[in-house]
Amino acid sequence: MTSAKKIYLAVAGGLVAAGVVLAGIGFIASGFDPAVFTTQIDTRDSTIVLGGVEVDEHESVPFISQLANLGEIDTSNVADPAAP
Amino acid sequence: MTRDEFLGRLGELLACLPAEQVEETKAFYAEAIADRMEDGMSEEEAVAAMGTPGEVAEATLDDLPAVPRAIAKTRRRSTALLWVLTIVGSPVWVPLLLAFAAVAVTVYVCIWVLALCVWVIAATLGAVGAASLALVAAGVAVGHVPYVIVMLGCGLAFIGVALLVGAGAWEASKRIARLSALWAGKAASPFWKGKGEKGGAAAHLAA
Repeated sequence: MTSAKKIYLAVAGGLVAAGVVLAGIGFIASGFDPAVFTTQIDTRDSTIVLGGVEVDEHESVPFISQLANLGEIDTSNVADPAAP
Repeated sequence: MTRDEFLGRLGELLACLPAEQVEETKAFYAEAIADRMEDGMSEEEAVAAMGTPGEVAEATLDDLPAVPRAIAKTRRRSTALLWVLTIVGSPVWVPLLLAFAAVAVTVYVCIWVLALCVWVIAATLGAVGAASLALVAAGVAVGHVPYVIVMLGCGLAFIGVALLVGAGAWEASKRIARLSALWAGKAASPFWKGKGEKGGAAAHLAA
């Protein structure tokens, strides 16, 4: 195995290890609340829930606020006005 | 039998093959006879050591891949028979050839789709990691610290896993490249013979 490959695998393994540790710390900091891992964006009523906490001011959240404001997309059949 | 007589008779027996291949075979045996004469054999002894021209011609034809061998043996009997069989048998051999080509190409594509699937998994994991890191910015904006830490951790972990899967995908691609080359060789073997394979002439002489 070349040294470049060893470094690559070490970086990847380090990222995984650091990520797992950080996720664990965040989970503990949230008081063992599984909802901290969730992100909900409801385009029907424009609600954003980050880690179990609902965001009141959408404008403060970049990018996600634009998704939330998309609105509901109507996928029902197009009704013919002339139909009986 | 002299060397020229041997090579002349061999050329007649192999007339069903392309001229270039006949010349190549004749050159090979001419060199083999010359080598034996250099080792001290007389011309007749060296020619006799090659076997009869008929045996040598059979060995050369047997060395061909299945399809060219069948064509050459039929052509040796009669060129007209070859054309009759080609035309009359076309409703059978054309669909069979097309089906064979379709199966060969499909298996080749399937082999590479396997490699593509591993790369897609790696790319998806990387995209999830990038999305998680983007959510860190959202968490910072709303001041939800545990969420920020969790999303940062998830982002780093997913990117790390994507890098590991990417390394696996690279290794898998290299193996699949070898497998696909092997498959292409197997699929082409009834029609074409690789340069590296031992020739029937050499095998005949070794025997």
